[in-house]
Amino acid sequence: MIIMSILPLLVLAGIIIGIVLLNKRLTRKPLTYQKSKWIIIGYVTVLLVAAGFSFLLPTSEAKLVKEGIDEHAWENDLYYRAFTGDFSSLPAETITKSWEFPFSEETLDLEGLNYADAVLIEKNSNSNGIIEVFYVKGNHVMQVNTTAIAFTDYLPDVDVEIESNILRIISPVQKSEITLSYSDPAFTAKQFIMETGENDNQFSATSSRFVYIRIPADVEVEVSGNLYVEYVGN
Amino acid sequence: MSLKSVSLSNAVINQYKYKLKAYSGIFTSLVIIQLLGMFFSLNGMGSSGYSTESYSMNITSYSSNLVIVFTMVWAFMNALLVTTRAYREDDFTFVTNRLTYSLSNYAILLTASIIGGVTAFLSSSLINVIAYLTNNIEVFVTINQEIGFMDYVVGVLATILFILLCGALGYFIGMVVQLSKIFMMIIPVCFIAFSVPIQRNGENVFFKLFEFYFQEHSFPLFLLKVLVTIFILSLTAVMMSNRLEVRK
Repeated sequence: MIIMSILPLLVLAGIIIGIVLLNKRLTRKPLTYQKSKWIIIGYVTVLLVAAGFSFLLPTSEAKLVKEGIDEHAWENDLYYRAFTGDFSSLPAETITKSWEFPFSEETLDLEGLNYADAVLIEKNSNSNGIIEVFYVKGNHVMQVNTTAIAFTDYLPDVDVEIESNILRIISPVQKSEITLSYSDPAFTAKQFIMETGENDNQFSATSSRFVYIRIPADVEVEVSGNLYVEYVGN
Repeated sequence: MSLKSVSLSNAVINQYKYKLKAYSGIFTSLVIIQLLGMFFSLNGMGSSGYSTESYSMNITSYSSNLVIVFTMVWAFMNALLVTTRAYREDDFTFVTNRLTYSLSNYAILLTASIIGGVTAFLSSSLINVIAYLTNNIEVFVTINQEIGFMDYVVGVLATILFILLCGALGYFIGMVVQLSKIFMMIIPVCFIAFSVPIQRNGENVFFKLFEFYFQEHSFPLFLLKVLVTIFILSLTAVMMSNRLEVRK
């Protein structure tokens, strides 16, 4: 533990000794002024080219979350509201996709293809001959250092298709790996433009993500595979 | 007696030009130190991850903080080295006195700080590009929407000032040690003493100093603090250099 705590100091001391030795070596067997000059010019040129090239990197404007997040209030909030029969109260922006299919069969066979999240089924006596499917995706936020970023937009979407009496919920891949990065301003700039040192712990807060299916009240549902299915009001 | 009189400014400029060539090695070491800092920065300065059955998410932040810190250490060490006897005696090649010696050294420190500060600040772009090419990053999210051009200018100036401050501190400590070797013992003892908590919450002198400079959110006030500190350190160092023994 003690060694771990002084490790950064040891690394820094190593660097300092390295500089001293390097400097002595360079003094004893000096590079010519011309060579040194060209090394510096070359280095600055590389930095300037990289500065230009960095504008070509694929970028996307981050949705920064500035207000405090109550992780516990978020967790399953949307799901809970839908589960207790209050689906209409969900904010419109959380319903990212919706489908509507005519349906005249007595039994609906539900299948998931690479889909691992929850499915909520509402039996509705007003839904005559129609199946409505909604994909609900609440806020997902992750904090790195002092920056909290909403990453909901980067989450994989699902697709839904119906074939005879089989309704398939399809995720594009078995498991998506999303790798994002951002360039944090240097502390010398951040000191004057941003609040620093507050809320400097890393966390992630996620809201619900599920498929909501509204079916006619007289349709029976059969589930294939490992889908996690619940019924509204149960 | 020479009939040609050399003004102070001419003597300083001549020595500055000479030292710029003679000390070109410090700029080569700057490149190496900054590349080292960039190498360590490629793993990211912070990272956060989250995983479910259907997706895993990872966000990494990259910055040039480490490069700037390395450059500050570089400035400190080189300023310290410049005060050593070997470097000091180089000056006797010229028409010189302690004042021109110190002024030309400060001019070199200022030049080194400007080059070090600008390159350290620019290094963030190179870190981003290399990280993108090597770390399989899908997209860079930009969080700098609210940062304007002037904020970048302030950032570069602050970087230069921090490096110059470290250089001035290194030069001051170097001069103190040249004055009497006993300070080689006293300074490390002070370093340890400053690390000892002076308050119940564990804060020490270094923490207070850190707060004084690094948590100043007003740039004009920061500028004032740094310039006054550099002035006091420099003035004391110049006065001490007058007390150094003459060449035997």
